[in-house]
Amino acid sequence: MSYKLLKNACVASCCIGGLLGAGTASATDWLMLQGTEPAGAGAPARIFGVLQPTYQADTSSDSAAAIASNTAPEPTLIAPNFQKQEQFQLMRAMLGVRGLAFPIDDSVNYLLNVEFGTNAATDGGPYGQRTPVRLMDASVTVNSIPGARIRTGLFKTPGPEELLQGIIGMDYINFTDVSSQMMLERFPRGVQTSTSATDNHGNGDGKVTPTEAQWTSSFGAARDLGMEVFDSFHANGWTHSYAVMIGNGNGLQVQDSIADGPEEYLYWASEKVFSGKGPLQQGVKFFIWQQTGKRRVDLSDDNTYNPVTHDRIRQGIGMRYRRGNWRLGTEYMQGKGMIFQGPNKPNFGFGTPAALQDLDGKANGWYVDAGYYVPNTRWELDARYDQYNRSTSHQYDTARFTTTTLGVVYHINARTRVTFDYAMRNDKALDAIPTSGPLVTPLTNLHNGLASIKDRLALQLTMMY
Amino acid sequence: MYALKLVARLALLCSLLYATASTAAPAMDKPFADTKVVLQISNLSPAKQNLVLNVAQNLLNHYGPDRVDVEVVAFGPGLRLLFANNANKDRVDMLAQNGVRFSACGNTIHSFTKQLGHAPKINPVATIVPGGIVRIVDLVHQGYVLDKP
Repeated sequence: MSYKLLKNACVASCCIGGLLGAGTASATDWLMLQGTEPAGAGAPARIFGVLQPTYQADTSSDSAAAIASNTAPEPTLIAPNFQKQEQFQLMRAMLGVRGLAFPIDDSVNYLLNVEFGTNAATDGGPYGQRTPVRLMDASVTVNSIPGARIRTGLFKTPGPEELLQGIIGMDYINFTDVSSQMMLERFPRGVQTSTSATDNHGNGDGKVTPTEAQWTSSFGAARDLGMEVFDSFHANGWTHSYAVMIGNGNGLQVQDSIADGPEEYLYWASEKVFSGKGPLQQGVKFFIWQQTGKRRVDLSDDNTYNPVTHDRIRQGIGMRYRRGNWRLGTEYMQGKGMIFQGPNKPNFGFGTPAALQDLDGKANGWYVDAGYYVPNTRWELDARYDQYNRSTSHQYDTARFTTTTLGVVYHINARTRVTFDYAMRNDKALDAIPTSGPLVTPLTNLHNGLASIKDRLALQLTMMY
Repeated sequence: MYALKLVARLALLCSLLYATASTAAPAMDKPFADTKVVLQISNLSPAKQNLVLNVAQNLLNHYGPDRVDVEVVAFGPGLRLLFANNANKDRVDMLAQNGVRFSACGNTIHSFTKQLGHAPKINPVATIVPGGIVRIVDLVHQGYVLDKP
């Protein structure tokens, strides 16, 4: 599917949404659930949050020496520290408050949410430091214009269902590879590439091969600081929702930006609701989205400020179905530019030499997910197959990540669940290694590193309040 | 003289009839109802809205729609239940179709109008009464059981 075709479809959908936006609907989708309060029934301040103690064990055969020297492939280690293959952690510990600014008036509502847990939002990884508290959401929504609610601040961006959905909708402990690697953006810290007195870009511009010391910032967490126009409405038995947003393109960061110009987001979803309401309502939903922006990267490590701007495009299309005891879902995503790479070191292009850099490269991925709620029990069975194709247009860097995840969930009550996932991973580099030259060693490392990635099991308790 | 007394008694009868009519005739549309309940909602809590609607539905389920007379009186912050765009509007409408009456406090509407700068839009199934608490007192005097879920 071409980028232009998908973009045109997304733009057309949002235009139609603007035209039909007269009759607004109740909260029936993630945009509305996260961005608004129930009409006439919102509270001035409602506390909410989630606790997720988690245990993970990776079966890949890393050597102790490789782990100690930070040369073991990252997917074989437990994020975000990447220092152990077996670990207990508090994956999420969120505390939030949301409500109405003026209780008898629905025209303005707010959402504030902070993270205390250990994940890529609060922990800069093996080279960074832990931030005890990270502001995840801080937004205000003005609902005064029929068909065009305005949300501004820091909040989840319109995008793939897997990332846009709330914790209550997450049936697996870990994200798919395409979401984790391609969608959740990593930001290198600012790199001072010039000693010139006229260079005032010391806090910006990522380098193509930043040293480990520069990868200390939190990831994007599918969030951005910006302004969004959105709404939801009914038509012919369907609920349609749209969002148009511009943002900094800088995730949770408030400084050290490598984004060049505003990030643009487009989103459209149409859902046939069978029954219920809220996050677990039954229905079939189709959605399409696109995110476009630019990033400045200094290609040359020469103490001269000479950055080059690269496109960062992400787009996708998908479907979710929930009826009776069954749940089905699938998404296809593709990206162009700023394809984050590993596994040896976090990087935008596998590294030096320059032949392995792929800043304008492409990637794509997809997943199929099915869930079954065993009747008259508290058990849920899940299965997901996902595939991520990285650097698909590159001569040497192409890699394929394939994971089949089998999951069992026991729902203690409506707000508490225990999840067990077993992920069978089959990752490999696809391009041939030259017989001689400077690429032999890094590409051999790439092939061996990906081939060493094995299965992983995870056990998690989720309590939402 | 007799004629004057007759006119006076007629006038008294008329005034009583008028007074009765002006305070509503709750049992008129439920002639077989032998249980009468007035539910008060004056709380800001969204959970209270669900609770009041649940109680009304449970009363209908237990006694039967024809055997119980239920009126929900909303005043103060609880008036939000009867906003035209309330998230529970479908449930309110369904209960109204099953004979549950909803009364919106006129005093609260007046107060909200001053605070909002415009009058709140009220669900059309609701009847605006001069004062919510007055309405409750009147209904209690008529034999209704008051419940504040």
